[in-house]
Amino acid sequence: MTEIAMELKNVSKRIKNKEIIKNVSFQIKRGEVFGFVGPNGAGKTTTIRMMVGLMKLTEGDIRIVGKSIQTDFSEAIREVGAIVENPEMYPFLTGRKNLEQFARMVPGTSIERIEEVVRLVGLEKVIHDKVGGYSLGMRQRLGIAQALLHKPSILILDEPTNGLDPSGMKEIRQYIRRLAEKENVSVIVSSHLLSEIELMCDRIGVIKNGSLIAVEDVEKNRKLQDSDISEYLIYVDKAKAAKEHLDGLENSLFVRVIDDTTIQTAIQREQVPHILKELLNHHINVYEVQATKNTLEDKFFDLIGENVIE
Amino acid sequence: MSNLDQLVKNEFIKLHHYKSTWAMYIFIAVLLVGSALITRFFVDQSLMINETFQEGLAEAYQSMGVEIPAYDMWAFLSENISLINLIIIFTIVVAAKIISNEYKWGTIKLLLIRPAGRGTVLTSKYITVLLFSVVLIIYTIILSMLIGLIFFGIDAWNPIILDNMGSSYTEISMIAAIGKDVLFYLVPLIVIATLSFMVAILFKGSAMAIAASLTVYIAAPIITLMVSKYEISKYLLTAHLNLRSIFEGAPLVEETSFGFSVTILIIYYLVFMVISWLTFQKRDVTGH
Ligand SMILES: Nc1ncnc2c1ncn2[C@@H]1O[C@H](COP(=O)(O)OP(=O)(O)OP(=O)(O)O)[C@@H](O)[C@H]1O
Ligand SMILES: [Mg+2]
Repeated sequence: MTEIAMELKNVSKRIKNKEIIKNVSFQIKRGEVFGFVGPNGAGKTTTIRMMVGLMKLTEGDIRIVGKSIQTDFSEAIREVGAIVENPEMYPFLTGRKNLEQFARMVPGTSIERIEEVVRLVGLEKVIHDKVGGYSLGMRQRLGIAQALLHKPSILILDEPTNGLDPSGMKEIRQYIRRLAEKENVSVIVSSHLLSEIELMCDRIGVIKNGSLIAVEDVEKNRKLQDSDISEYLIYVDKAKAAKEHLDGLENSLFVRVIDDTTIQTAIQREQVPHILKELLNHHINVYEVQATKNTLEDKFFDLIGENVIE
Repeated sequence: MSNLDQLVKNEFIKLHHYKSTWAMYIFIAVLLVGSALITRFFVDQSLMINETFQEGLAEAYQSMGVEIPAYDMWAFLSENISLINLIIIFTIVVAAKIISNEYKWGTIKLLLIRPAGRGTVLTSKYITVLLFSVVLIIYTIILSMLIGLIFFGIDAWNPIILDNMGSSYTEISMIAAIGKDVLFYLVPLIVIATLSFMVAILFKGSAMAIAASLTVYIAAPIITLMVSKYEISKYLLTAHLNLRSIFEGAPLVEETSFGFSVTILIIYYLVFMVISWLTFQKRDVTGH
């Protein structure tokens, strides 16, 4: 088995002379959760449509477990389960009957498997109700169940957290992590909000105006580098005294008093212990230090800039 | 291609979850019972026989020494074979909806990201449309026989009648005559259903498909007559849909032979099929 689950090679898409996807290349490893982030209209859904063969590629190729979606569609798509854009189902059928429809489409999908995925996504209680009456969150879950039915090695979810409440979101996150870690399934999740998917992804690809502008390793970015300047909130007992003391230090810092017990400052990570020592030595008690910005988010905003839809 | 049967099963299940599908079955039953009641209690049956046996048919019976049959189950059945006209209209609707609904619900995406492939998915839908119309025809025949039997009884199990076989009246068994009528209806049914299917694919919606197909089917004689003075009229689809009257020697456009009509119909049919399959296989599935 190859270690690469999916590979996009110089993928471009033109619709009516408008270049919607521009020369996008990246790889997704087995068992990896890959986040696909970009503002509205960046081209996430279009890229996903090409991955699953709903749209033809203008240039380039997409290989799924080594098989081209263009020339080897059946073999390639067998490895893929997906929700594209919205989790649409037949509204007049029950959840269960919908899943039976999809089970019949891929030979070898058993009744037991249907029951298994229903349990996995926690829909046992409503599975015999008509989908027309489902909430968006319930449909999202049914969409995931549908995508997992034939045990794909790649799961593609377009905005899966759309419409989920915080606990539902957390559940899906945990569930996706488990799939990746225990069953070696590769997962591609798209979102326009970094914060929603950052927690579950191993790597994040940032797309803007149809170009892939960065691929970041989440783990590496999670910790601040020593030389990174970041903003910190420091919770103390005497904010004014703390500011006065810090202002008096040799390489004077910019310190702002937020309220009686909170100050804010922008410093390098390696300076943090030094400052704390200074405060404690002068009988200013420190209760909490908080880095207020996360570096990946900073990078994301730097990369994306303003969300301009072209 | 291995799971085409499963895909057809899926389509049948979906189709029979629509209320409108059940309304079709019920509508046919109501029409049959209604027509049986009217024929039995409000119409003089000998009058009906006289009406049918105009235009020399009665004389033909006399000259060939065949007894004019009484009004029984068979007569009721052969009269109601014309309900296939209604079934053609139902089939137009089903052919349009079976495509457009998937676009309307967005489920087309889920259908096309399975190993079966687009061609097989489309084939399963097409087979379902034709199979459904066959089911409706068989349903109509069986129900007509039952109702006919209850209201009018039966004279003979397979009576001999006279039927127009192109050049002249010929002796033919009742069952064969009905079979022949059904076959003549199947031709426009298949061609028009395929037309509706194609237009639905092209427009991803049902309104245009239903409107266009209904117009072609119902207004066929009018359309043909309107352009009949031009040479091209004999190449129009509408001139050849009533294959039965062409067979019986009364074509809409003069001097079109049976063979010519069949050729034209086959050409139209093939064009509809090729356009449908090529469009469906090549086109991007987008959000709009
Ligand atoms: N069929 C189409 N015809 C023309 N333009 C299209 C078509 N499909 C998408 N686009 C354009 O391509 C761009 C990318 O759209 P896409 O739906 O892929 O964005 P997205 O990243 O999924 O955005 P969102 O976060 O809003 O879902 C948009 O500018 C859109 O207008
Ligand atoms: Mg999108």
